[in-house]
Amino acid sequence: MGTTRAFVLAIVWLVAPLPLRPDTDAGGVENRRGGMAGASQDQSQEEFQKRILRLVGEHYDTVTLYRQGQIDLALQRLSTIPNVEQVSIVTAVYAIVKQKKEEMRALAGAPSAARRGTPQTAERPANQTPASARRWTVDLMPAAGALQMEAAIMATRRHNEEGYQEAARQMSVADLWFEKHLELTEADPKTNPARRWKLVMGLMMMSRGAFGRVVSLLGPECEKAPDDVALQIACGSAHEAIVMLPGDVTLALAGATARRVPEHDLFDDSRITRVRGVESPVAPARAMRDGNLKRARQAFESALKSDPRNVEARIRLGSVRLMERDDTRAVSLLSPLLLEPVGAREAYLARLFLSRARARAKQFDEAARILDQAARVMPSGQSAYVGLAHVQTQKGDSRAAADALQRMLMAPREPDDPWVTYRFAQYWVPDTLIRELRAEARR
Amino acid sequence: VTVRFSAAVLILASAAAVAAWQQPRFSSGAEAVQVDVEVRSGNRPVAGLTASDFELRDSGVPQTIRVVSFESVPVSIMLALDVSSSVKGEAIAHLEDAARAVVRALTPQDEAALLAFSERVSLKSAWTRDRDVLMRAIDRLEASGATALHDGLFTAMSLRGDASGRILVLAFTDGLDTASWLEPTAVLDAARSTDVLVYGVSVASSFTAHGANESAIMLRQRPALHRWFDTDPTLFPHMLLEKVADTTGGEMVYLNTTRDLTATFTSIIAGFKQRYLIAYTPTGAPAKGWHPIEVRVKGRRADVRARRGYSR
Repeated sequence: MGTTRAFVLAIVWLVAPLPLRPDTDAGGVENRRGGMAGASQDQSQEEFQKRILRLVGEHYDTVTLYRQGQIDLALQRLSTIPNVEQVSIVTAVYAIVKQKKEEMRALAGAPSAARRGTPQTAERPANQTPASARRWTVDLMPAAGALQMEAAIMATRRHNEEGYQEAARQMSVADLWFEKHLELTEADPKTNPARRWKLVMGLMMMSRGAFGRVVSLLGPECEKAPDDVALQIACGSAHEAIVMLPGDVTLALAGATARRVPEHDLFDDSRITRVRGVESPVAPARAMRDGNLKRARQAFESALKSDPRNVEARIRLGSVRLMERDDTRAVSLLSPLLLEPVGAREAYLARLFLSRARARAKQFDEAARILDQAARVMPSGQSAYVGLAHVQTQKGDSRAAADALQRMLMAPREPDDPWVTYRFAQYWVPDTLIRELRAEARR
Repeated sequence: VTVRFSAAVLILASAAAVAAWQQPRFSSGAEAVQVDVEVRSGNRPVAGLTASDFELRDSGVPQTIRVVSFESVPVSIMLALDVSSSVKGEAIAHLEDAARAVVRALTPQDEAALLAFSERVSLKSAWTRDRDVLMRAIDRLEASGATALHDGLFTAMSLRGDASGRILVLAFTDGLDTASWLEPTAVLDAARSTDVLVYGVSVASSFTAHGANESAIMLRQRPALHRWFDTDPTLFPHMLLEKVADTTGGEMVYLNTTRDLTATFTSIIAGFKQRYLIAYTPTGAPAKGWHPIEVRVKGRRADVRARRGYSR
């Protein structure tokens, strides 16, 4: 069966109210389509449904493997199923589980009707659905969604356009699993694990510098969940990283300007996707920077509203305030961190940022003192030494500047300078979160 | 595409010159100023000029100048090379070959140092006249990591150490800065205050974030890029190396391929030695601040390139 045909049938299945009754549903579909479908289409649809039912049974085994920890094998089995059929499997499982649920209700709540032999809600007699397919229960559906998310993560690891597109397809199927599960259980939408899986995806994309994609992926989630601290920090960090690595974006803006292209699609992964008749890239580049800084600031402020002591959010908000040239607020955010028992990375970064505010205020001695502290906290921190050399230069003390550079060149190379990883928004490897999500899927 | 802004200033403090010469120096209480000037007719250097052939204005005020015979001054060459992960493979092999060619071009009086930068800035060889030491340092270069061009450039301009001659920083990069703490303005300020010359070499891929066509367009639009950089350096950092080269009186060369690195490096070193060094004691110019310099050759058509000025 061709992909297009399969897709059409999948959609038909999705919109059909009685999906497991081809004898009546096919007619209904025909009616909705103005009687255009003929007997051969009925036959094709029936074949398709049989195939899906077989896949539903097989997919139960696949998801069970996943729950048992055989992730690679489960992913390998999943990869053999075309995306449109994956969608159909969700819909079919939903129908089966719903039917089973209603059968149970009928047995429990309407014994008289059952005794009369007139099914109240079941649309398809149980004996028409293969037993292998009827093994599905509602509790298994989040695991099926989690497996799709694992496939999306695997596709993301390819870090190319094809991989990202595949990841988007897998995520849409995962979303469907989670939504159908919520619909059947009437659970609190906040329990939907999709958002946390997407956070994992976003952090993975961040690790490869695909910040625009992170914004596209997590932005809508951040708008929906302002009290999700981890999510807000991820969104803010992506916006902040876009500002700190402006090269590609501004270059493309400049290129569009240079070419005087009236309408030029610059990026798939940027909020600024169109440039119309721009004469100079300066204004759009500034708008892009200011817009990203504003979104970053809002995200970190949201995080701090929910968790006022969150050190990462405080440091990042301080950094954003510095980039916004709001040094007063930056100093008030960062200064207290110098007195708190935070980790070496955080102590180093807070001092680094604070020194920039002090140097701008021409408080060179204070800036130098703070940078010296930073170098002692993180002896491998190149930025502290080169920053110190620059501050000493601004003071006019070339000997002290030379000394700072000598210290830099003699400094240990490990661990990496936290500034570099900060700039690339590498602040969290979500291994623990992945383990938690997998554990949830096994329950 | 090649653009040359070849020239340099050596700001020499008269009394404390020797001591200060041994140290990194970003501002000067200079009494005498030396300006390294390139004079060309077409693509050929013009020889045989004397002090009376030059006209120099410091802050718009004509100065009395004299020519210094620079053949007697040894050169000190700081190789500042981008060894980030993007130069892995063929590119770093070409870069190493080019660096070796520079070492081979040194006279016994010349000296060199090797600074490598990725996300880390590393001094692979301190200033030395020992070619073997330099060659071994080149052999040890490895490509990995992000690009701290700003920090690397700042350090290269600052590490005078024991260098005793005219200092040339020959900086190579193949991309944008992604890891520096220092902002572009900090590096540019350092360039305005130092007496070293910076020559920049970049492959066009630093402009090819969105393809070769984009690269070609951007290279043709460099005057506009200079304006945009001046408006907001943090938004358009692509031009920093060229701005630094321009400011110090050095030269910026863009290549299409790293295969041309050896010829380019060799040409830069040869060109560095074919220039006039003219000196003057500023009179009538402000004591402090930025001093714009204009140099021209009287009575003949020639391309004259010198640094744009200096800070004191």
